Amino acid sequence: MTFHNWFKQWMQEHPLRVPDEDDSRRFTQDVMRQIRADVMPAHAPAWGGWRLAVALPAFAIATTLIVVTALYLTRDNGPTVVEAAPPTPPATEQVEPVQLAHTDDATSPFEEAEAIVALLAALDEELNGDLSADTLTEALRWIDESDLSS
Amino acid sequence: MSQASDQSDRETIAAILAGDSERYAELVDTHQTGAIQLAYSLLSNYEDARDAAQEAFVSAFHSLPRFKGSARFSSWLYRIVVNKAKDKLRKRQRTPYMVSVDNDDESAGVGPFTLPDLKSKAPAEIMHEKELATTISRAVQQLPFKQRTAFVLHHMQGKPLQECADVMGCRLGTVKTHVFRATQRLQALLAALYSERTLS
Repeated sequence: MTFHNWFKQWMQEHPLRVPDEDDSRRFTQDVMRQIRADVMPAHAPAWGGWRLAVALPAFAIATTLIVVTALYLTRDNGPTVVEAAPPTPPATEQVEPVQLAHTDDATSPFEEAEAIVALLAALDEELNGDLSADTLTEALRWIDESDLSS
Repeated sequence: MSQASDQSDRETIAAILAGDSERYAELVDTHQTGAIQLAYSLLSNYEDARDAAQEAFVSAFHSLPRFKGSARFSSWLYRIVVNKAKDKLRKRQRTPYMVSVDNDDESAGVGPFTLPDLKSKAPAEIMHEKELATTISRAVQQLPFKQRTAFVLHHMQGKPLQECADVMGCRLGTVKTHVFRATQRLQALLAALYSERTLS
């Protein structure tokens, strides 16, 4: 008998072991568990992305509805909002007229002062040096109503 | 493996690639015995063999889109099993490892081999059968890896030489050489056993 035949006979008498039914079932379960564990993280972003794709427009629509409703209600209660509005800084109101007065008016402050002094001097002369408080008040009102630039 | 089961494998693979990954369990059920036997014969340790086969099935699943279909699924899978077994042996070389042949219960067998019905046999005969199985298993483990793979596939799993070549990714002539050298070496290693059995 050749070695080849001898070994062949040995293998017929002693075949390779076959896993029993329980071990075989466990083996398949172990492989599939491993595969599921490997596959799930790869699919998770796509699944998450799908949820995000639905959630984002829904959130946007809800937010838009809230904002539009709030604006609508605000328009109906206009005075309330005006009252609640923060006051305009006073500096703006104070600066602008002074700048406008000097830029629009041709008469300089120095000329205005000179004209006032001249008028007061003329008034005092007319009253023979008796310029009382009442007279001065009257004179200032008169000056205020006069066109000093002319 | 028959052409019918080969066709069945192809249909299952097509379904898996179409998205039904749960059907991979069918391929595992069909091919696990051969895969574990191959790994067990190469490694001579059941737990390592089971791990190697499991890793091979998982790798095969992930590489399934690259499976060309020119070879049988079993040949392609066994090639992965051989590579995983080789990895296990490399790990054994890096870390101290007691190479031992499993000594399971009498009904299970010794190493990758099944022992015949021992109930009617005398204790001395049972002992002799176990020693013989252990010696053959250890002798196979002493073969260089490529010779061992070729020998296991052809003489222990009964695969045709061409299929062995497909699994090992080499030419038919190369496989024949590996099988021939492995047989010569085993004959030398098992000379005493062989002559004893031949004479008896």
